[in-house]
Amino acid sequence: MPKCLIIFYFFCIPWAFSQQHITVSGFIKEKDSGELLPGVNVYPENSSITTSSNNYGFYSITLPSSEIHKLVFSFVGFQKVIKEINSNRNLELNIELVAGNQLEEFVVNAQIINEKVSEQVEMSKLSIPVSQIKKIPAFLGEKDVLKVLQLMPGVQKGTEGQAGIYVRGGGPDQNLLILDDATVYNSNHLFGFFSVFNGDALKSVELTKGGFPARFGGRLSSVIEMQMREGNKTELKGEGGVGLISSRLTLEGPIIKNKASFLVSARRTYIDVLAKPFIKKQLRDDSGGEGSGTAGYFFYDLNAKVNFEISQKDKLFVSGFFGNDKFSINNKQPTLAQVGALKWGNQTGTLRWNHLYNNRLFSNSSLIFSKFNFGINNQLVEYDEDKNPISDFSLFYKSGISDYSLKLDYDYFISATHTLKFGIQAINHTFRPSAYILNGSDVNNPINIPTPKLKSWENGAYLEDLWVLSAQAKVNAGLRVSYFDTEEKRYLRPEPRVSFAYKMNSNLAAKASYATMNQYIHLLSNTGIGLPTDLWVPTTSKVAPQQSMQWAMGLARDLENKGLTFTLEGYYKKMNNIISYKEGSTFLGLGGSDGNSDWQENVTAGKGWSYGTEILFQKKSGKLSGWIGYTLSWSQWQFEELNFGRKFYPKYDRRHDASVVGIYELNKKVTFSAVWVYGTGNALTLPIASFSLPSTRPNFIQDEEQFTAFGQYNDYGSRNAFRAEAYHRLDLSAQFHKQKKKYERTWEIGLFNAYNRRNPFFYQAVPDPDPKVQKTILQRISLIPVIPSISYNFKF
Amino acid sequence: MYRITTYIFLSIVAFSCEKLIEDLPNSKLPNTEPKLVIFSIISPQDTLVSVFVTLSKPIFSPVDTAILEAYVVNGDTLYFKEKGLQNARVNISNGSANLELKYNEKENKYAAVNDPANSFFKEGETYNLTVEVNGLKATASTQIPVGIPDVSILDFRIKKTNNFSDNYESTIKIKINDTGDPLNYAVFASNISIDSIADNDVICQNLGNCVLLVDNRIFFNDFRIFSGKDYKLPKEINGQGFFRNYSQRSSSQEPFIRSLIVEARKTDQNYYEFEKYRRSNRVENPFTEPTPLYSNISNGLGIFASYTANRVEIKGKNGKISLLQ
Repeated sequence: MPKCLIIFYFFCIPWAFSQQHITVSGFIKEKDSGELLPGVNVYPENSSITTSSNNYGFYSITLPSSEIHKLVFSFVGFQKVIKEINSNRNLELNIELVAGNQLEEFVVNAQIINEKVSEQVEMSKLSIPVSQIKKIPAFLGEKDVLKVLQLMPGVQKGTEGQAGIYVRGGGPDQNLLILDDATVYNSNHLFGFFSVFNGDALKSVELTKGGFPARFGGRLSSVIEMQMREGNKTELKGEGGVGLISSRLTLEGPIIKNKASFLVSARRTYIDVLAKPFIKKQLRDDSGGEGSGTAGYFFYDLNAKVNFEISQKDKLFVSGFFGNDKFSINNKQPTLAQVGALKWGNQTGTLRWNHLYNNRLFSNSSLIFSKFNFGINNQLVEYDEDKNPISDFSLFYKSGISDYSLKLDYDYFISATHTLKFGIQAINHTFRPSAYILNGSDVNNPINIPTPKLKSWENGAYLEDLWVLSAQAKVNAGLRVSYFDTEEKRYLRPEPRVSFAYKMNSNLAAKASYATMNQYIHLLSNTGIGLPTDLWVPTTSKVAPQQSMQWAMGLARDLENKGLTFTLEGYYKKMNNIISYKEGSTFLGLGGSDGNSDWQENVTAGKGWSYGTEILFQKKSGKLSGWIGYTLSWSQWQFEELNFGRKFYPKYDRRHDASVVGIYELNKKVTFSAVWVYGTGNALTLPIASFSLPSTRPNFIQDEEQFTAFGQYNDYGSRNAFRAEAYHRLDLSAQFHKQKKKYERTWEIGLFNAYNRRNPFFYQAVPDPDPKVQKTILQRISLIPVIPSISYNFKF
Repeated sequence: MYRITTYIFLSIVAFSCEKLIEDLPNSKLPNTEPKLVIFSIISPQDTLVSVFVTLSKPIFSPVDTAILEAYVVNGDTLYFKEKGLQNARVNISNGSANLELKYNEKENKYAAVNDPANSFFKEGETYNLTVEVNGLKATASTQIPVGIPDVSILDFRIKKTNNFSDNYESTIKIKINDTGDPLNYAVFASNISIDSIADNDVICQNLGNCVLLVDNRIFFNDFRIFSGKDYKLPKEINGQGFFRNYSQRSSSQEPFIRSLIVEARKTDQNYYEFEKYRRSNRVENPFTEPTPLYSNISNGLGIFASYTANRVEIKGKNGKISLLQ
């Protein structure tokens, strides 16, 4: 029976339709650069039939052959194109769209398109044009994709200044970050103050936080899919910028005009170079002029992509991302010598082949590599006055994950009412949870724990159908089957997905969705802010996969005459087997309750619940653009081995979260922008009282108790029972553009935290400095006061 | 215009250099009242049943020095702890009979004599503790485990860590078996009493430090906890002690061992959980979340737990331990 259904789907439906229908298909490009455009809406005027271009700019739409159609191609920020179709044969129609900012008139509201959210079956999906990201004020002027996503409803930031994101009550490990099909395991530079994604190299950014289509899998809470630009196919172009802490440069151009192109985009900080003379002097002064050495920090990232259009039906893409952070110290003093470094980095590589079998069947085949490494080394030798070594200490630590994967995706535009997507993916993971060596003359218990590498396979197969039930109703139903094979155990799990949209009138739709997700790899985190010390570990026979079930309902309304979209969504998410460190355990594997060094013994599994409501008003283009977002949410966790088995709020449970983003294009030369954010404070564990207790250890000598120190303990009430002060902040920026003879330059002046709000970074309990008052006071440590920034950007 | 812009810019820079550490006003601090803190671990085999009763000190309130007392550990280190509350009503009940505990000023705790041969405490029975003082009332209960664990020393050795060292290490092998109800939770402790080799000698061990110096003797203690989920009986335990010669002496003299004692305790779950959380709570690591201390006291903090025990002691002969004696 299932075989018959498949045959029916693949052959009968297209055949039946081909009798009275024609298929119009082709690629949609940006006119100026030849860049393929994903997500372009394609629909005949006055019809409910609609489709959109896939990630590679390909579209295919089936229309009744008996009519003359005006086919509309519309995309946010681009001029609408309308083509008249008057044919009774299948048609190949490639389209070039013109970007809005290249139009003669600066703002042409009637021609610049806002996407219609009421037309889409998907819900809980957000996309922000990269051009808009570049206009939003940023910390130190460093534009950051992830920090802009933090401003959307349902997406929350962690700690002050951090790029880690928390989607609908999930942790930062539950987000699948994909760059050109490759997973990026650590998205942070400088301990999370900047993300690794360079906006200059990106074509599109899309966040899905619920109602996941079956093609996505492997994480519980969100998918952030980023596509790198291919590079200009017609002429050599470049852009770059000089900021307070880093500079960046992007070059792109044709290798073979209109056939092959390249893009290289690089960014590097120069804090180390600027600070070097000061640090050298400080180290020399500290040693009375006898020492020498240096210390510093830098990060860099490099995106590179080459693409080649072999024929109309075949395209080849090779892309890579390399990013590294490094702290280092080399200090030589008369009495000590220290060499140390802390470094982490990502590397990804993707080889993709697009093939068009016919005007309805498109495939993408990818070979993908991804790697994340973290390492610490520190060697210290102390000398006596005669320069003889008297003690030494050395610490080496490393952890990491690397993947090789194969991915095959097919888009099959069967008919006007059915679009199938199906495919398979196989990932070979190699984990090194940690390798730890501690040695030295002063180390009582030398440690050498070379944790063996763990290998596993994570595979998935999916099928989804976008089915237009009627002019009002659409459904995207799918099934993903995931399979995880560890050395000890195998897991096979079905993941049903469904999204449904019903158009109540031409601009209003009601939507609902359900998705089951499984996550087979886990991030062990002590801090929850995405530090490189966090460990990626696999599902094993002892550590089960994480699983979530998410239900969502909502309304989507387009206010076309105002260029506004409005969405209202409610969600409920249940999570099973989420993992956390046991009380007292750390990434170093020491100090756990039982002194275990095996990471599996230091983790515990629990449950989580998250529910809330999200509201978003968004305007993506026009003279005034931006959005207002608000989230009301609750998250709770429960672990048998944490907080004595009682429920508690996770650190980033946030009752209220609001953001207002405005971009105002005063004229062609000046752009103003502002961001205001508000969030309920983090839930923290704080000591509220202290007490002392004797030991439970057996006594072996008479009256031993009197020789035993009473232990001093803190009463914390309950885990995360203290609520930090609310977070709010206003950022402002102004961009001044000027077209020079050979290039366009932009000066940007920014003000981060404009009204100098002292937001909490952390709290510390310290003794009151007044000796007359014997009590403890609580201090708020803020990190970022009002910070002005200036940067210079150019484009040619 | 340029001057105004410059002033604004400089003002912002100056503004941003203001201090980033601020004290929180009292209105934003958690409002915490003192809680009763109770510590009592009972056993039918103990000759004295005792209950410590104190009050917790709210951290963000001024310290009431009157409730603190100083005490000295290891002869030279001064500590402070809360004074015991003297006017409490402390009562342990088994449902049909009560045991009233009286305050012992010297011991700073509530105590009552227990005759192991005719104990108020019986294996398998549940006991309820009630403490009332100054309008505060806290309660807790424990069920004493059934059966006494069987413990035996299989092997004990002491030797130089290597031929070139003056440091010594000891290894011990113990076997614990069960009697009575399944041994769900257990505490195991061993002790080696050694004459100090030299004044600067320090003893280290593989599971935390428990170094005591009393009457010029060093007591090496090994103290572990087990949950029935993690082991099968009979269980063999290997322990290792390490005797470091910090005085850099050239002597090859072995440590002089006075006695070797091992004790196994079969505990209730409260004892195990408290000790497990206590160990996590004591870890001072910036990477770990603070760990609340386990408590089974309603309306209070601390622990009321129970155990049965078995202790084996071997005296040293001429400073050496023979398992054949």
